[in-house]
Amino acid sequence: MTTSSNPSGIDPRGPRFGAGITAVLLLVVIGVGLTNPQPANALADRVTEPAFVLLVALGALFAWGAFAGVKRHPYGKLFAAAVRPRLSPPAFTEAPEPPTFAQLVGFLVTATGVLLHLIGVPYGLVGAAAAAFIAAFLNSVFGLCLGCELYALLVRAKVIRAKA
Amino acid sequence: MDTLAIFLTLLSLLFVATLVGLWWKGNQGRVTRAPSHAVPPDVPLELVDKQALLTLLQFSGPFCSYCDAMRGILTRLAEELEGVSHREVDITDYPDLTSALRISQTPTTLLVTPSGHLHSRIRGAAPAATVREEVDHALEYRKAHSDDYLI
Repeated sequence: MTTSSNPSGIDPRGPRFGAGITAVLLLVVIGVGLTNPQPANALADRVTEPAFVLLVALGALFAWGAFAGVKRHPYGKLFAAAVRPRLSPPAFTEAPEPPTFAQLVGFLVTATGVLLHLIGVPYGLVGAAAAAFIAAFLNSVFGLCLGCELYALLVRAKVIRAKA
Repeated sequence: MDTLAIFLTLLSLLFVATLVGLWWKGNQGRVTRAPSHAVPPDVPLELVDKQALLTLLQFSGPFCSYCDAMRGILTRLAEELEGVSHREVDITDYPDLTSALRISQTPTTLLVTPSGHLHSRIRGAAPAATVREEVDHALEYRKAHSDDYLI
């Protein structure tokens, strides 16, 4: 019935640090993608477009966070090694599940962008990158976990049900 | 697209995201006070501490950034104040109640009377001082109203 208190809580500034890097890279994807929003005619050319290559890399990083956990993510390691020692202890900790879930949502959104680009949908890559950018930006700057808000709304709308 | 148009597109994206963030931030920890006398009561009695003057009923979820922080604030308050109790539920286990009480974010904290009636609601994470102020108000209100029954 109760959500257990989490002794394995993480420093909430870690995922926010990572989301900041992701947001900047996504902005680069959108900028580069907009120079040529119409995917090339040949599939071989589409997969070598710079925006596509970068989004695939970002998607892989999201998958890393979603399936290996945020602590094992390169940004998490970078935060622990280079940033955390310079900060004062956090005022509160956060359960690792929300940022991991956010990584999964990020992975699904970028994967959609990759797929849309592969089948040649104009602005598909840029649109997905923009959606992912908004989520990463809100997470980094405001500490808002968009995927988590979505979960609560889905429960309220009774889309998500507890396992009987 | 030329460089200027791309730059303006990126800028408007940043602008929209900032507006959404500010709106969310403004609503975090917002308190709504609306003492209810609903029949049947808003909250099932099994979720209420009947021994306490006030139950702080926290709705949490499996994916919730500030539920741990809010739990800390609420349990400390319950230890500190006599007649105040903290309970926590997972919205996944109570979809009907979540829907009926229009809970759209976690954490959401309800201040509930022993009869299962709502006194106020705190959306999202609130600073300890804000929670304290609202709990103090609810306790005073409860005490004033329990006097009514004695007359």
